[in-house]
Amino acid sequence: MAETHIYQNRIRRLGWNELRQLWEGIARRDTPDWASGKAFEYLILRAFELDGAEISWPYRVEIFGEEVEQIDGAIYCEGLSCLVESKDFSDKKIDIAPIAKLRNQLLRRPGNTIGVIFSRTGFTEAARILAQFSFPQTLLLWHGEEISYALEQQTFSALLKLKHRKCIELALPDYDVRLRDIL
Amino acid sequence: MIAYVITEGPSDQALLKAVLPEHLLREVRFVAAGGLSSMASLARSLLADRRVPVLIVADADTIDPESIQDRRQSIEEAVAYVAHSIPVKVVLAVPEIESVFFRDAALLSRWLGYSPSPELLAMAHYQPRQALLKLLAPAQKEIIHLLSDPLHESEIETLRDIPFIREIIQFLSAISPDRATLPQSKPIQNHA
Repeated sequence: MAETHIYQNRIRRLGWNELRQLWEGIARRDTPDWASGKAFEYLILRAFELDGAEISWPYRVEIFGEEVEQIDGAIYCEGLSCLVESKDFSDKKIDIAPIAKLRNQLLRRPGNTIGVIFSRTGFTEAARILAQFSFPQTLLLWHGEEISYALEQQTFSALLKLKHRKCIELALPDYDVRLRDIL
Repeated sequence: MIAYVITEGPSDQALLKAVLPEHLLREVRFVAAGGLSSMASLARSLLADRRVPVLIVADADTIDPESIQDRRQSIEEAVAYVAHSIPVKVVLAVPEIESVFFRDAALLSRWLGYSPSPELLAMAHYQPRQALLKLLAPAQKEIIHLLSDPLHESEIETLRDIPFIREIIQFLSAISPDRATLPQSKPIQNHA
């Protein structure tokens, strides 16, 4: 996919400062060089890559030549193996559809694979509840304020590990990683 | 510490810090959620992880009583299952927390350094934040700058009489270890 390589090359030229600028552009809906939603999708993966994670860029999965999945990426860090779903809606929150889709994708993967969903605008309560009732398929939810925080801190992998750990301990798929700095 | 107070942004925190009684401020920790959409998850995380009472202060964004009740109920339901016996309170400022700035016309004029027009005061009834931003625009001030001047005792008393501010004080007083020494408050409603 030529488009993937173009975006991949573009995002890999960006360091933390440039990623923060891109994040501000995404919030303003001002990313003229990117197709809809792509800047957000690639920003997330690049942030994890900068933080030392191993990543796979967006790809497709086919069965008998038919495309059955479009995956927004994969992340390997802190002993975790994650399928990524990234949604950049302008104003509405993520509803249950992406949660249900990712859950189905996890059902076709090894049991220790977890799903991570990034949403700039957050999640509906129904989506959050569905994520909670998806266990033992693990779905971790990141909202925009957490992404801003992670970009400021320049750490994504440790925060992903924290979110996973708190999900294990508290059964919360959307534990807010900003609590790390709240006494 | 007796509670976390979750607000949407830092100017909301500054406003509450200017108005709430000092003995209560010593006992709470303010947390800015950054937006309404992340308030519930932040509250749930604090409740589940810290097991400490949580007060959520958000804008109602409407003056319609039914819509206000719906918003309050949806936030309460979103945190209720992790709160269990831990006190939780959702306080909605109607229509927005910036309505505080319009409670006392004399105080508003002192804050601004001039008297606002009747048109903007009428607008403030429905959109206090927008009205305040328009009032501040000529001086290129931000909302938080208004709070740099200390309030007089009588002004503070006026602002503490605003219904949502009263609700906040009642809740924090009720869970404070010093509550036995405080004046009797009405019962706190809507614990999740």
